[in-house]
Amino acid sequence: MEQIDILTLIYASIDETNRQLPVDGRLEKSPDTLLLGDGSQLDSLSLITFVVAFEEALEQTHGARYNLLDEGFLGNPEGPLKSVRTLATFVEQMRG
Amino acid sequence: MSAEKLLLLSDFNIGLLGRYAANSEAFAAYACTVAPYGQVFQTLSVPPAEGTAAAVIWTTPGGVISSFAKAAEFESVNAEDCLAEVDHFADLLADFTRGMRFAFVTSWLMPPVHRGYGMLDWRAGIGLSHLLARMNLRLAERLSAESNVYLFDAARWMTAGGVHAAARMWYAAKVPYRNEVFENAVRDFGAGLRAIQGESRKLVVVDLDNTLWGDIVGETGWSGIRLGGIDYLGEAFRDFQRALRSLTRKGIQLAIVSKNDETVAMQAIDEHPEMLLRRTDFSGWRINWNDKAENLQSLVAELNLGLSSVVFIDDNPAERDRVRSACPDVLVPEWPADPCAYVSALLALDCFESAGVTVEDRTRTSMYVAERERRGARQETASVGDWLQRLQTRLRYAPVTKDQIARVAQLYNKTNQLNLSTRRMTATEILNWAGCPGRAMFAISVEDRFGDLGLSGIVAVEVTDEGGQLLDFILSCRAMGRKVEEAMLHLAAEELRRLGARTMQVAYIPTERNRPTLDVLAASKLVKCGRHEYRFELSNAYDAPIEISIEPAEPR
Repeated sequence: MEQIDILTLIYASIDETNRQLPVDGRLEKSPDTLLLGDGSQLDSLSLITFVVAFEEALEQTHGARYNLLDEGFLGNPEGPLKSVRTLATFVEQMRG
Repeated sequence: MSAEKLLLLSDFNIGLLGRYAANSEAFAAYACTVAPYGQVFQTLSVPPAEGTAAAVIWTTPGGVISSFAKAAEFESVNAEDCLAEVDHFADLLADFTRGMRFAFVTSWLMPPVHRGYGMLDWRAGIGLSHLLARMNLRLAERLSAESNVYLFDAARWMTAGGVHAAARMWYAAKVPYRNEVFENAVRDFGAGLRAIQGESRKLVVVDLDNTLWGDIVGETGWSGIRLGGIDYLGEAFRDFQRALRSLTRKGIQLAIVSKNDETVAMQAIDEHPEMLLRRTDFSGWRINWNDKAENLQSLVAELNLGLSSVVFIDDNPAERDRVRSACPDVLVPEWPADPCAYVSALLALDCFESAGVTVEDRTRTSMYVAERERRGARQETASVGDWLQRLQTRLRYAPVTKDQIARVAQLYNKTNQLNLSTRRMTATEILNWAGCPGRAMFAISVEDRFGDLGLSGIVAVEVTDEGGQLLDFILSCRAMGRKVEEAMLHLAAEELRRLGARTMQVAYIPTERNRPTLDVLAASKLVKCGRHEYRFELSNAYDAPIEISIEPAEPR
């Protein structure tokens, strides 16, 4: 799976999450968008919504499941969930 | 204007609902606050926080009815114990929400993906589905006495295919449903809110060829159109007519705007044996070769409605586009190309919700047909005075009571053109207001030789230290322009005099649509004393119009 495919899935998940966010708090569909930690616009419920949407999209399209809701990911602002770019890179690496 | 507080209360994490609601135009006037998670009974047991105008209460059956939670784990429970818990819960809900503008409560669903007892699940005394149905019915019956509480069918929000559970969201965030479920719920609540605010659509305007029947009547003649018979498309058109006719029983009117020869089209409507909708089912029509948007505007004006009351249905995308751009207030739904999908497209529209169904709703079309006949009689009569005499209008008035409150609330919240102050109030608020000393509120019913127009108006007066005030002067458009307005002013003056007032003061509060009220005031016997203020000295008699008989309604 190429990173561009992964980005497409991430952006679809951003679209879904944005529908519950106020207009001025919506996520930009960009690799630089921060998802977790300082500078992120997502609170915990929105982050979980995003992660669940992305996990489902990944599983449906590629049969892959990563437990991104694990505390090791959700609690690590420098981990894969830091930004769109780090998430895409993580999934790409996991897919080899 | 500061937003009113809308409380969201649930035994699960209902935060997502608040977020979708915040992005919904229907909820723009409300700020959602979420009650502490899982504290349904604690919240319901104390009065709501000050300023709470409304509530959404969405619970799971196992979360609030402990007997059902046990039943769901296949413990043997007594159904009567379960129902007693439902009664207790309903009583708490009723007490908690009393005085709110509205409360939206959801029906209970089986826990997601729970198969219950399988094929025994609807067996009395065993099945969970059977028990839950009884619980929902009991909840509905207990709450039906509360005019401000509306029970929503949550099953409608579950996504097609039945996959509505969100197991990962549940374990991670205590959210039991997928996002679409909350989006559907917000749409449904929004439709309910628009109904309460009197913003539902009242008129469906349809095209004829390939909308009400198949083919072009001008080319085939009425006997050649596809309608009913042994023809799958003909059956689809006939079912669409049936669905439209059903709407009229909820108070929605039908009208026609079609590019056709009127004689030919009317021949089809009158003579085709499979037509379900006949001439008397339509409040009006424009069948000619003129621009549809202009036809629509003149027809709506003739029916004394606003364009924001209208849904326009046409199979032709170009005509839809024309009406959409010329009349942005008209709802023009995208329409399926396949006539077999017409019924479902109509039934899916959520703009016809109502906060109550009254006798007037069920007979509205016949009232408008009578109005068309009245207009015909007027055209045949030389003077307006003669016409009014010939109408033999009879006005009956009675203090507003709980018996007619559904219709009175409808008039308060739906009437725009002849409405002095456009006070929007719920049924509870109306009854509370009318029950105070120094106030009187009359329901006005009108009939004439063509038929009964039903409860058509409201007069509300109040005497304070500053004198007598006419606060509400509301009249349905169907009774306008025949001196009922003058009769109502007479009634208000007489009542204020009886309450001890020496003057009747009238303050007109302008809105975008109540200009006709100002015209009525200007033409009345009231004396203008400010830009939008009028008064009448009650030492003088405010004579009733001679063309109308006025009498108190017989007690029901």
